[in-house]
Amino acid sequence: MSDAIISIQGVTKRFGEVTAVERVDLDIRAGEFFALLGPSGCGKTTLLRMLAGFEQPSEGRILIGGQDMTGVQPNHRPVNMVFQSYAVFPHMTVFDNVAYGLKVAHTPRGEIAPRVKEALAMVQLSGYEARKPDQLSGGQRQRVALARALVKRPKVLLLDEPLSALDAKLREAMQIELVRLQQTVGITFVIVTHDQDEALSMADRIAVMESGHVRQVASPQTLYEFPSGRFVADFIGKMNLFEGKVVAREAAGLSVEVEGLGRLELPADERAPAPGRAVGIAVRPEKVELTRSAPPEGSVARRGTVTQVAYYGDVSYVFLDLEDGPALNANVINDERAAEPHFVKGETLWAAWNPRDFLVLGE
Amino acid sequence: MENWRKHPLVFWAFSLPPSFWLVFFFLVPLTLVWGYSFSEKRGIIGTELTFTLDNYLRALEPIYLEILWKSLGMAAAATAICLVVGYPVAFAIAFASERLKPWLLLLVILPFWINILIRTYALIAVFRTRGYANFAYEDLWNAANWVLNTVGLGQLQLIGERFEPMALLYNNAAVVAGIVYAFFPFMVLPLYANIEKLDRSFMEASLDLGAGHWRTFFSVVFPLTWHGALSGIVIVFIPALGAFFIPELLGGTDSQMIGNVIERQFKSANDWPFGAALSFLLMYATFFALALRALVAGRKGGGALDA
Repeated sequence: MSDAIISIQGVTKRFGEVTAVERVDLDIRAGEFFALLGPSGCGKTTLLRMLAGFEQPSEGRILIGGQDMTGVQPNHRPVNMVFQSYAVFPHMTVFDNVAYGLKVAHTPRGEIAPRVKEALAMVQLSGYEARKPDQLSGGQRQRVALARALVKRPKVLLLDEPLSALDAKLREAMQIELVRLQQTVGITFVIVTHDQDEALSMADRIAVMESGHVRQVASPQTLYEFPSGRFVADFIGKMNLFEGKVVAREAAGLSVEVEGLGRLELPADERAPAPGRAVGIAVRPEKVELTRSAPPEGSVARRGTVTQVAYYGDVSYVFLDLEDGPALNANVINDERAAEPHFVKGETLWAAWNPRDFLVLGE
Repeated sequence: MENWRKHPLVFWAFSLPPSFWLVFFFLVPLTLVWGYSFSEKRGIIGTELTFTLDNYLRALEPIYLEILWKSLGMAAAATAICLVVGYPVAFAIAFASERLKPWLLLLVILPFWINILIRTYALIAVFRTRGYANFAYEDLWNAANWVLNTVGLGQLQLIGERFEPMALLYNNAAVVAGIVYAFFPFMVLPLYANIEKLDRSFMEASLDLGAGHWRTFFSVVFPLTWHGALSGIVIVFIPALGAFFIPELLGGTDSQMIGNVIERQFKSANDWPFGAALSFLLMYATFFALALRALVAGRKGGGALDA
């Protein structure tokens, strides 16, 4: 791909016996906001550290801006990093922290001050130049770390779990601000996160990683609506997953026998396993419709009893036991003001789906 | 720590023994020696407290001041060497694998298991004319000589006609080396403790921002571990300044340090009041160094430690 600013080619990283990253191929496009998402220990941080140059791949190679980075030290790479701990130098003022990268690069003296000023303005820290890091809040320290990296005008900005140390409100504000910042400076951002909401809301594209492998690379919406496999389907968002067996796979449609749901007739899916093979059938909770009266023709509907209702304000999670056994989770939007819950525990309801909303997941 | 207020008995039970120890084995003897420093000699063993300042005036005579200055210089040189060598060693240990680390620390502490006097004698065996250092040097010389003869440069005598052993012992350099050898662990351990605590991401951030390893050391690592260096400097410098058997065993006729002078007053010269005055002058110098350290630590401390 010609517009790839970062090209990760067959990269494997082993620490002794442990393989942290295994045969990863990944292209990151210039100017995009890219997220590496996965549970802890999936290798996402190791991959980011290889981009920064703190770790060398055991196999494969990494190109940044078309140049092979094999053997290139961190201080000679056109990338900068925002560390999880921020790593703002405690013995330097905010100004000296931001100016550090320019000073070591022998930037002309007259150029340093305006560039530091500009970078601090970008992260809304103008006027904090003389402060020491211990006089700043966690959020402000993070902005210093951001300014310190951005002032170098890197080709790629790497962010290692940048929001994990912030409280919920600040994290949400920073999510929006990071996206705004990325669009302003036009620099490629690569962010590592274990928080799917963070990745979904900020990134243009996401690579979902699990035990050293990249499971899927796609836009947030594709990941959510069309996950490539069980891991991604289960990891991103909430999911009702049922086990079943393919009965027939034809051009007209897919016929599946599902435990607890019986026979389901689904739209044709050429990626589905062959007849006789096991298959996972999944449906997102918000795609389930709950009604007291029998649902209209054409939808798949089962009866179930409400076991629990979890109220979140904007939405309620309703948990049901279906008549034939399996548990089901459905989300109900609380779009009308009401003093009483819409559904209550013990109630028997109809749960209905559109067959097109079912996901067919292979092994 | 409100608990001991509720249990005064426990508090006293725990604090009495150390208090007793401090008072009777530290404060009382120190006061006695302090008293001696204002006393006059009477006869062979007697002294009388006359509140005289003569001992101090005598201690400030040029001959003793010169020895004090020289002692300060040698102690400072030894401390500087410990610092320069100690940093890489402490670094190596802090960055060693978890499996290796305890063994490396053990190697640093191991010399403490042998009496310092025996270790200093061992240094004599290394440094003397027919010692191990010169044996090694002789082997090197012979090898170089053989090479030169073989390639036909033997008659030029580039490295001298005969092997001449180096005079390594009985000079100031030997004393400094002995002090470095004796007190090196005191420098490495506080440095190691500080480097070990240092968040690795500070170093990585510096590299990431384009700084090389040297720049990273002087701009980031050193300012953030300066505390450990300061502790190391103080606990090496103070005993180094008072060293007496190291210069006696390894030094030459002009290598005596202030510790030797003090020792002589209490032994061969049998002039306890003067020895006491010299001791207290040395202690004032030490207090001054400690006060300076506290001042520097207090001023720089906050930011570096809180973050």
